[in-house]
Amino acid sequence: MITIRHLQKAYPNVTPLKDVNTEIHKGDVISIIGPSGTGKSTLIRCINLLETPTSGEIIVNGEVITDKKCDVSKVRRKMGMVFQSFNLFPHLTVIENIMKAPVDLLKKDKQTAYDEGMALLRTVGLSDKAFVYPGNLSGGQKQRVAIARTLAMNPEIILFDEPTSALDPTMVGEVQAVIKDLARKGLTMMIVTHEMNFAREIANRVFYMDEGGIYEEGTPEEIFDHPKREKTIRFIRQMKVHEINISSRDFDFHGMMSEIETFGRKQMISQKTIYRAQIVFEEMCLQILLKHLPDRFNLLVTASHSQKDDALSMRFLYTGPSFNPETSDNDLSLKLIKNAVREIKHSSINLDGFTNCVDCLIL
Amino acid sequence: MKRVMSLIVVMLIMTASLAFGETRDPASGRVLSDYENAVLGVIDGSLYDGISKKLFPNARRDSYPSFNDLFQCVKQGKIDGFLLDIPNLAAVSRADRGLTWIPVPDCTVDIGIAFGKNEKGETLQREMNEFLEKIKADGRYDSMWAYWCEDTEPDKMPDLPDLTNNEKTLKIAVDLSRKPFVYLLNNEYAGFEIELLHHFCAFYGYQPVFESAQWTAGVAGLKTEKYDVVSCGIYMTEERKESVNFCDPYVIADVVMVIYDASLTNTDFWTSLKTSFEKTFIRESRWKLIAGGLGVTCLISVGAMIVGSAFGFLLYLLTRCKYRAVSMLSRAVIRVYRRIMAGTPTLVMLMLLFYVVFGKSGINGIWVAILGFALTFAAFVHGQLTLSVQNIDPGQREAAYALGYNRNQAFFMVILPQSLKTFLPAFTGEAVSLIKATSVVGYIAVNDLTKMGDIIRSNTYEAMFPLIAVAVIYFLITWGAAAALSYVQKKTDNLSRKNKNILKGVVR
Repeated sequence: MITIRHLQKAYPNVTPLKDVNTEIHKGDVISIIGPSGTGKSTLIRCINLLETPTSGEIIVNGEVITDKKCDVSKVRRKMGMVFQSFNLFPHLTVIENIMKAPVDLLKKDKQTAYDEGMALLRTVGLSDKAFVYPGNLSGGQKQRVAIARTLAMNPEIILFDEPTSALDPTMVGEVQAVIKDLARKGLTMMIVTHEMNFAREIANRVFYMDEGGIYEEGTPEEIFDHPKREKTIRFIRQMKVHEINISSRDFDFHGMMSEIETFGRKQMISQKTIYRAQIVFEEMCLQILLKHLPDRFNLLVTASHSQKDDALSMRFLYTGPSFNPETSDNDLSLKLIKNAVREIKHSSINLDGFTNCVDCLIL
Repeated sequence: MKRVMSLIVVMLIMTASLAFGETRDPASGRVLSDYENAVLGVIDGSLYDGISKKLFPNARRDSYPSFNDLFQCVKQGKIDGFLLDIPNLAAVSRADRGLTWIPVPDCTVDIGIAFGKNEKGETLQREMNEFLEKIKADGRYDSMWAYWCEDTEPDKMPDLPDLTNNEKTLKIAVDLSRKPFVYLLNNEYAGFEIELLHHFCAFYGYQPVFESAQWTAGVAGLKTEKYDVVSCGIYMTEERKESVNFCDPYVIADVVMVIYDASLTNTDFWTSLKTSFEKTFIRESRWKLIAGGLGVTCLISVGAMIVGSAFGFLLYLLTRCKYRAVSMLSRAVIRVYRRIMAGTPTLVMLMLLFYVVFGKSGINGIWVAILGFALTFAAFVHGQLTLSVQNIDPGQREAAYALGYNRNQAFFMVILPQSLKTFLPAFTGEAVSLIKATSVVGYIAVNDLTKMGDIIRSNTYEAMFPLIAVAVIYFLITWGAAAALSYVQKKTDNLSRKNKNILKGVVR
């Protein structure tokens, strides 16, 4: 139904979309997730040309809508959009908001538009608010009206741009229920959202966006349970990462110890766990690895914290011949480390020049 | 006859005083030297300004715009006296016996008619001189002078010759504040000069077209050939001769110091109030002047509002044109235009339009006023519209686009109706300001409400009622305009609709 080819959107300072390619089929419900600033909203705003793409093409039902000659407003009539900030017309009542576009643009007579509008209001559960002005509605009600207004144009696809982000937590549910209802009816939809459970439940496809494009795509199970790529994993596990790069024996040890502490505090990790992580860092680096490694070496220490599991893990990547720290003869250090970790595992790898990998899960 | 007698007495005293070195007002007994350190009223830059500077170097001189104001001030004691020619004073003092004078020895002014400094002006000057000599010889001059400038107040314009078949038009600017030479009588142009000009036109076959204008405006109009003649009982000075042609003076008038002595009048407060009300509104049906002025003020205000709004809206549409070249260019031009409008006093702009831009076209001042105020109003409408539209949340436009409205549909159907909410209150305020601002159009020969009040004041020498009447009428029309526009505001505000008026005709 919609084909996107080499879509690029560049602003003077930043390029949120570098190269996006995808195909959207009829009946698809696509959740778009990803960290903020990765172009999720930009992508769906490009699809109905609220943002003009810098290059690339978007083809809707065989029509190249990025072409200058295309009548954009006609294409948009078949493409609904629901905004984070609702954007209801404040000078019109709820029912007039819904009737306006069908009367103005589809030239429906008022009675038909009214009857259809009331039917839509019933499906979103707001028929008693027909003659109320948007200013007197709650956020959740406003968003449901906005959805009804979009539906009144009978669109082939609806684009949701963070539909629940501006809502009180208590009102998120009512809006999500309405959207789920639409999904059940087989409407084609694209939803940018930060609500992971919602994204998972409603979609048949999930786009994880990062690095200026669709970084990883799959079914909800694939993305949420078995993400394959590094950044997806971090995002799904809600992992925060701190990296320390060491390439000389004269590195700023105390500075790095305090960096670990700062990172831990920021992630609200308990003081005990931070202390253990510092012990692991000190014993592993100072007492074992630096003593063992040759003169020219590269050591990358990554501390990552998953908010989801509240688990802190440390990974040591280093160069040189295969060496398992557990075989070290420094018994004291080894003992200290083992007291601080739940598990420790060494593996030989070949990644970005590193040959050894030690994973520790801090107690 | 009494006045003629007193004039003769004055003459006698004057001749006597030459011997004694002092002249005295026979009524109040004051002498000229009493005024050496007094406060004197003058019309800025006028002939009398120079004379009083010479005669009373130590006196303080306060400037006022017209003789009418000087009469008011001397009555109220704001000034102690001022210099004036006898015919003018005589015409005014008929109505108020408190006005009296001290003769100023050896001081006369030449009063005449001004023509353009060009070929036509020279012809007219020659013809007028011939004509004056002729009527002085056949006695007509004396009877005209006696009718207008002697003791009895004329009650109507004498029979005038029929000029309707004359073909050569003569554009004459008349300043109606110069009784007895030029003024309004029974709401018609009257006075010595007016009658003289009618006979002059009859003799030479001219068709006169009179237009009321302040004398300064008239003289400026001579240069741009907007007028051929200025009739305002003008004082002929050497300096003025450089820029206009004068005929020979039709009178060389003695100058007197006008003073006021309240003890010489014996009317009580209520009687004088009644008389001044009667004089301002009822006598000679003067209320018709006010009504006419009101009509002109309304015409200019409404005209400027409609033309200005249309033009301002058009400018706004240009700036939002989808062709970048057009919108960029019009934005730049409008920025300059608005700067000019904001930085030029409306009055100065009106005078530029009237005397310079449309100087020779003979276009009526009312149209110039409408144009001038419309230009200012358009600048406001454009600016306010830009602001009001900017104030609308950009999400509204996006929502309209997303529903399938195109650029123009989104603007006219979604954005514009919402921007009225902030636009109309500002519009109302500006409209009220506009009505009040039109009071300056008297400067470009338009007889609006204010100007009509002035004309009545200069004919009746009453300040209170004309000014109060004008103020009250301005208040009423601005109040009415504000009320009408508030009604429009309420009608266009969707949020104040009654539930039963929403979606009329739809079966719920």
